Amino acid sequence: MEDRKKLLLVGTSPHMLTDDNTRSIMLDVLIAMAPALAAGTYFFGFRVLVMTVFSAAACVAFEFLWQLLMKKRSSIGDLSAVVTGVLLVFVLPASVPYWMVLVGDFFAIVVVKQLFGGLGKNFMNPALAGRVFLSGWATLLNTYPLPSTDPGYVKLPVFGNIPMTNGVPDAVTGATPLVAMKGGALPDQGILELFLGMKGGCVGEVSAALLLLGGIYLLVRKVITIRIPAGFLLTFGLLSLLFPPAGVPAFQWMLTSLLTGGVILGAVFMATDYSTSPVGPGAQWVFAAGCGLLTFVIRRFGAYNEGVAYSILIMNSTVWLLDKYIRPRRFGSGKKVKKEAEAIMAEIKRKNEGGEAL
Amino acid sequence: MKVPTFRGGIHPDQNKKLTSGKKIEIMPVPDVLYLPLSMHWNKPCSPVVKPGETVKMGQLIADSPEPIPVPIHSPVSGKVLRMEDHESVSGGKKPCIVIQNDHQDTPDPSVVPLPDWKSKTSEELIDFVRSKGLVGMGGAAFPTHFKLRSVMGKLDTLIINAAECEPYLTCDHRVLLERYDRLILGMLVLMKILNQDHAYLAFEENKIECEEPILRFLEKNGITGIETVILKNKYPQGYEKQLVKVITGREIPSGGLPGDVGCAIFNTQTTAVIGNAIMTGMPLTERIVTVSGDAIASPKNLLVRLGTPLSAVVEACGGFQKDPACLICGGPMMGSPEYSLDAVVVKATSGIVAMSEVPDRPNYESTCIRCGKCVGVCPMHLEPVFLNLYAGQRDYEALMRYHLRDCMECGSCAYICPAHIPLVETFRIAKAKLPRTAPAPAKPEKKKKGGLFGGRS
Repeated sequence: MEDRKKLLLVGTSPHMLTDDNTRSIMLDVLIAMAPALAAGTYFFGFRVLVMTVFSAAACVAFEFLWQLLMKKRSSIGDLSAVVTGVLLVFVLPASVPYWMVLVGDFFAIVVVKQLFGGLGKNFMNPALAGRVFLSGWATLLNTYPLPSTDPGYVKLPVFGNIPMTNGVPDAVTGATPLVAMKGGALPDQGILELFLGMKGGCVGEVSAALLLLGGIYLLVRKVITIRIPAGFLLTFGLLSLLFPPAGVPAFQWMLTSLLTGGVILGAVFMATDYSTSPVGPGAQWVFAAGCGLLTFVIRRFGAYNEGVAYSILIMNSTVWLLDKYIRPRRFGSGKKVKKEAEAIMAEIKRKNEGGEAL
Repeated sequence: MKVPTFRGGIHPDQNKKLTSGKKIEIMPVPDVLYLPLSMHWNKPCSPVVKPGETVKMGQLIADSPEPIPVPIHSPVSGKVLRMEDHESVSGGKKPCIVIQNDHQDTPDPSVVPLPDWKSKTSEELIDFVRSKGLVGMGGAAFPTHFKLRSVMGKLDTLIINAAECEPYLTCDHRVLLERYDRLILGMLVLMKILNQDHAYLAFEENKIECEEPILRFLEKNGITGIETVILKNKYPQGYEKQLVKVITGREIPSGGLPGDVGCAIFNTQTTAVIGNAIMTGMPLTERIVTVSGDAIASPKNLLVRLGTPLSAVVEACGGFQKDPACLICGGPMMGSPEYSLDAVVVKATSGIVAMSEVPDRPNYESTCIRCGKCVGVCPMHLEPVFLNLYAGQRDYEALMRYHLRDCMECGSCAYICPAHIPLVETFRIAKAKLPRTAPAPAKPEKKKKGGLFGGRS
């Protein structure tokens, strides 16, 4: 055994490996979410930051306990539970009570993720499914506090629940831009205000600018490709441009539609979730276009103001189908390739028989 | 000309700077050489010398009556000591001729130049190529004469592959810089044999410095018909299917060879050795080997006689400066790991890479996170993620449907996988168990289970 250091290891090729791993990818996602988290904290107060840490810790704890209970190897080190925890807070209003976050975390980690086999096996986005599960508490979920840039802003308590009257939080809340838009009108905020995030809404969705910054980071680090965000935003943007409500300038409507609600958060961070999106490039485009189309349809024709979460969840459930039928064209496959090869060889034969110099 | 790249592929650390600036050094020849009877693809040769016999440098020592194998020549002058099973590259002991070197390098009378090669027929030149023991020196060791015969009269594109897309390796780079005269002579011979008046010399952008001297040489000697092609730096750019695609736009049908679209590809060193054989008459008895990796004290490009043990090669490069964790013959992406330094340099040994660290793959079953990176990098446009899934389920029918056979084991997917799943290893094991039938009809499951939603995919 003393000579062990001198033995050569015989492994299978390739003998080189990327520096990336699951943990580093999740860490990149967390880094990419940091600007949007900072925006949420700036607009809705310190409560956001505490709630995010709470949610991430709860997700890790649920994952750890579940795997302990099931006698499985603990996978909390891969940071995927942290990402789910942060993303869940991102799609909730800052005014929700802490217990609701905990319920959402439990549903996301244990029911949606672990019961289906854990990381990489779940078919629905855990954070979005967690949010939709919380729809049972509709009032709490659809009350959006005003941002700190609004004159009516009331500071939310950092810890504890917000006092409520008749089941409605007392914090001064206001209609999000989506409410006005549902009525077919442009919101009060201008494009720049919407872009920077001076609006009511979920914690992580308000600042389009900082979400896009995170998206660029993910693209540069090659964590995601451009396909899903671009397909989503282009489809949704194009439909908004082509079919604005009567009397609203089309281009302004398109920009407003893209910058409000969870479209950018959904396109950059939710629809790109590895487990719940297709693996093939073609299938990814179709998936993304489906997300954009459904979001448009729900916003325009549905009962809800916002349709991003439902669109992505619906498209999540089609991933297996897309993966099965929209596959990359294998190199060298297809009749065309075969025919072309035959044509080349026939041409060479003809030339050779004709005695022509090649 | 510059050409666009193919879809897929990876950009691993090239690590070529370690040796790309180092001139080819002639390695001192060891006292004893071990020559395996099989340094080519196909059946081994039989010795034509006996223990105790004296041999000269370049003398035929093993040959075969079969049509494919190529003969083996003595790299030194000296005495045949014995026949012995000796450690061979890529594992296991194989029969070798052991030769004692007398350090005189007395050439054999058969080592004569062929100055009038232009007046020879293709057939005569192919016999010449065979008699000089030539094989593809990039790693596959496919007998060159056999390739020439199989494509003769059926091609319109001749490509010399100097892409050298494997990390670390720079031996072809140095050939382009220092031995382009022999390389170009070799190209002219190949053009003559194959009746071509045009040939491509293709290399990656990282060897762009080689282009100018070659172009100047061509102009000075009035040679026309040889065109340089600058490829993008990308692995696996040097693979024949990708190479043919980027240079000619032709796509080799699944399961086919370059010859199926009228192309023939030859290795740089093979071509240079053909040129050398014409100039000096010397058969393939030595080759340029890149010795590199962070465990090697002084990485070099060495001219090594065949049959030299790896230990001597490493010694010639100052030995190990760190404990090597693994030693690879060839490049790190496709090369074979060696367990013994007694193994010897053969015709296809393009590199010896000793690394102090090996990829840190997890010792538990790692979880696929479905990132799809493997799908994006597969140069054959397969879906390794599903191949891995079905290989795990031992579903060989599904593996046929997902075309595991088209996988060429380039390792791009296994390199990029963030879960560090040993994809290539899994595929190799599964391939061996695939049913030996023609690929299954396109969508057999559709009829059986009926409809879009029938059964799992």
